[in-house]
Amino acid sequence: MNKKNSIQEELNEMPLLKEQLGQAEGYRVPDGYFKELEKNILDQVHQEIVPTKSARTKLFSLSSIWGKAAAIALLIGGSLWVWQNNTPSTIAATTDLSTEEVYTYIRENLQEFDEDLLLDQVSAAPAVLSDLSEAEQELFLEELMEDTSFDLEDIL
Amino acid sequence: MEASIDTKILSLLQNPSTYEQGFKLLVQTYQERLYWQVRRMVTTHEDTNDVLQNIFIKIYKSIHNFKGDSKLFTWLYRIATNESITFLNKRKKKQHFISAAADTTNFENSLQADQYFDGKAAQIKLKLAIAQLPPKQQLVFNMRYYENLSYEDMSEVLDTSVGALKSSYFHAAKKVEAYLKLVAED
Repeated sequence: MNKKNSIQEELNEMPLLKEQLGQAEGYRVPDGYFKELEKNILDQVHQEIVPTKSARTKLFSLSSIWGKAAAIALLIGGSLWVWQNNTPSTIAATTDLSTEEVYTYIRENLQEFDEDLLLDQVSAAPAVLSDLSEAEQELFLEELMEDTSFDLEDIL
Repeated sequence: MEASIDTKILSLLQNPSTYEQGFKLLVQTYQERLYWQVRRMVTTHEDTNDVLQNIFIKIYKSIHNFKGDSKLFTWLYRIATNESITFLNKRKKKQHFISAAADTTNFENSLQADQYFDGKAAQIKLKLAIAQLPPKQQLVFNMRYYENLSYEDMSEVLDTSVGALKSSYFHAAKKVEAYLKLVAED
């Protein structure tokens, strides 16, 4: 019997696990939660999509197209810098990647980039951010990652 | 049933004057399913609540990108899964110094301390067994075991071939069984 058929037969027997253990999970939600959730979500979108962490005031507005463009440029620039500086030289030297391939790699691995490394690169950017404290830069980067990660995937 | 509701939702969303009505119907239709999908990944009710609200805001902002080349709910699941993974990665970064053994103990303690978890011993053991799996296998196991999602739907959500998903579920279920046997012997 080949491996494929063997797996299929095993899969057919998997319901036994369910019969033994049951499908109940033990998780529950507060009474009336889903009714309240629906209201909360609709309230939030009616308020023109308020920030998720409402208690936290945003340092920067990324609502304008220029703000978004700057954020994306900063992220890509930072990511490229981190990528180039973390790629072993032997690999970097022997691979002839196009810009498009690098962008594709960044897009697919955006969540893997280390925020601290990106932060170092942001800190090194002299013009816009030099007046900010380290904590403010960190907060800016965190907000930037949260606000742009989804749109970036669509744009790149 | 699902297809007809999706058709109605998408039809309402296409017209600016009924957009809000369409989104409301989408929330009503899918909030519970997405909640459980997220809860199985992030575990606590409080975190699930936070992540879920972010998810719906992202859906609101990006529903116009839905091209209709997949089922609506698989598109929603994909957003929910990605958002949950992002949340878990951030949480993991903050806890990177915790060892695997301590992580298991923490997980068990957090389950037992969670006021919105009433699981019995067997359910806790199963949750612990699932928590031992690699992240992708956890996803596949949860979708298949608890939600009975078809491999075809899972393939759309996770962008993975049906064959690879079957294999992944097979290995996950074997590991879960082995873990449960081991725990039973102790």
